[in-house]
Amino acid sequence: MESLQEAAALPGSLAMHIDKEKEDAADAHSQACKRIPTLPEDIWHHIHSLMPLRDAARAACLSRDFLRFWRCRPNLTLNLTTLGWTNKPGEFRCKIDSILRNHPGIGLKTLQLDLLEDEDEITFSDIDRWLQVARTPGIEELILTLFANNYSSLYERQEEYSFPLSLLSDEKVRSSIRCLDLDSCAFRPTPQTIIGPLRSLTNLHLNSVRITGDELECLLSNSLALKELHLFDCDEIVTFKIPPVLRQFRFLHVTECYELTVIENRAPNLSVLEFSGDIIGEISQVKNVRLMRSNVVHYARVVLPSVMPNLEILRILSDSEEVNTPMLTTKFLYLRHLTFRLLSGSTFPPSYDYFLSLVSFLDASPSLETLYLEVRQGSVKSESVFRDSSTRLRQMPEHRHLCLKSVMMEHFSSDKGLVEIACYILKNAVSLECMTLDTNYGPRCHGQRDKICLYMADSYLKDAPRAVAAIKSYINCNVPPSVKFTVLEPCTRCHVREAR
Amino acid sequence: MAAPESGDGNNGAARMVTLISSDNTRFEVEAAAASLSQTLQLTILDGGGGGGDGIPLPNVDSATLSKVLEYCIKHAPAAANGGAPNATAVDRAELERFDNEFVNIDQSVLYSLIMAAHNLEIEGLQSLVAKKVADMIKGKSPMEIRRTLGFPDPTPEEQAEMNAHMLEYGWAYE
Repeated sequence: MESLQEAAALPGSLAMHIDKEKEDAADAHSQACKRIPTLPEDIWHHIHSLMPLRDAARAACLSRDFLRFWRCRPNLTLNLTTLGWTNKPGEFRCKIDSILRNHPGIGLKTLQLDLLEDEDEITFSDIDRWLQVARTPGIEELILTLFANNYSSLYERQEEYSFPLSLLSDEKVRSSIRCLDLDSCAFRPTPQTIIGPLRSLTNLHLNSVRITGDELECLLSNSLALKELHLFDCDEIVTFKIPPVLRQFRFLHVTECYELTVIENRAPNLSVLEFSGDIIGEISQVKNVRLMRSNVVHYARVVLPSVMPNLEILRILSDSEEVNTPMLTTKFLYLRHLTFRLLSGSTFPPSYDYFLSLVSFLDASPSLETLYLEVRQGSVKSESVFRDSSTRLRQMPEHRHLCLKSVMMEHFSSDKGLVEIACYILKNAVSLECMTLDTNYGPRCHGQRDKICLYMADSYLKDAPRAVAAIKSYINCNVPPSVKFTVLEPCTRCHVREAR
Repeated sequence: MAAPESGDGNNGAARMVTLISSDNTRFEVEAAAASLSQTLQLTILDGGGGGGDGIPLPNVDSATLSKVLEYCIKHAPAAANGGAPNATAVDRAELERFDNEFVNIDQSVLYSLIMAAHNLEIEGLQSLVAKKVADMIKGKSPMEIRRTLGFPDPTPEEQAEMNAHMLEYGWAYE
């Protein structure tokens, strides 16, 4: 009865909630008492930590233990998804505030704040206060995303949030933090503010963060355990150096940092690289590269064999190629996978020959096992194999490829160069197991009702029957019986509808 | 059949070990599967459990142990691949299907499994069964959670604390 009195003091909906539950309780009670779970407390704590945030908040009503589990929940991911959508201004802020005010920080391992909403209500001092919860021994992950998806407001804000460096000067935080992921704020580490090593930091992600090359270097030189660095849209960085003391550093991923032109790497074990500018220094151990720049095909073929002799995976994406790739004697001795995407908004200049460029790569790669190829031009005005009746495919000198097993060509058109490439591979790749020619590009629905194929412009769709005809006339006759040969035509559901 | 004394020698048949449940049932299982248990791993590495000896498990009954071993046998190949970077999407989907079916069990069996996974320190199984319990209460009201997990009603003092919590976190109950 006492609890009913308590309930009377609650607001209407909650009181009704409790009343109804009390009614249910009677019959449940006897049943429940028969099978009181006698699991140890640490198991219940583990189970509680696996519950989604809202469920975990409700389960705090089970017992004092559960209330305690809630108050030292190890993972706090606070965003619209976990807290529930709201359209009342200030409510999002209030929810975050009440959770973090009641969390003493004990046991906290992951704090993720996605503050994309309520930006008019949330103040910088709110964020400062909330982040203080992470000032605790054992904190491992700190992920902060500010008002990134609303650009107009971002520009209206005269000032921007500056990540509090005092957090990283705290010995507790410095010794345990493994992952720091910041989005849309300023981050200005200096030798005066980073006063000791971040001993556990392995992953650093900076997205649209205001930081200079010097400031980044300052952080790097204190992050001796760093394994991965991801930079996206950090346009104050012009150049920076990765110091040799980063012996575990393996993964560098830089995208859309348009001001950043040169990275000097002195870390001895860099192995995976995505960067479109110039990288100098210690790069001979790199095994996996993704490159994106103009004339990248030429650059990769001419420069990489000598500077990255251990390459195993190479992915190149080019939006314009003007310089033909020469046949060279240098080799990619260990290259196993090659992705070759030439995506031009217009057409390549008539003098550019991507067939010869690709042959130059294939002939330089004796260990190549898989090839993914996509050539897409702004319009399909390029040289169709059917353009004149006397078309002859070029015959290259025989060059046996012993390892190539799998070839995928997306957006296969009737373009003569593509037909020549397919024929060249079928004739020379003696171990080939499968070849797929897809007249589409991008994801396909594969007949699943809840998915759709990527939209294709009319000009591409119109060429698809010609592509299929080209395959029948020129390629089918070259397919050895041992090769699993697949032709994927436009989707009868998505693309037929589009073509109408 | 004589098995190599130590290591995971690849010569011929896989090494077998015997586990003995609390009710004295003997289970013969590949060492690689039993080694998913951190508790057993060292004993097995030391050559224990082979021949006629067997490793006694006084805290696990035969019904639970047989269920635990079903899990270990299914997951041993992937675990041997070290997190299975080579596993295909098909392999992963099959394991996922197995896991979903595996925890589709009576609650009392589930609690025994939780205890066994905990005692034997089988990390994957610990997470799987804990996640199952967490999922069981998804979207439920406090009283439904209480009933689902078999918790007794709170004392009046506890109830007062709970009410204060409900006031603070009203949004979680909407």
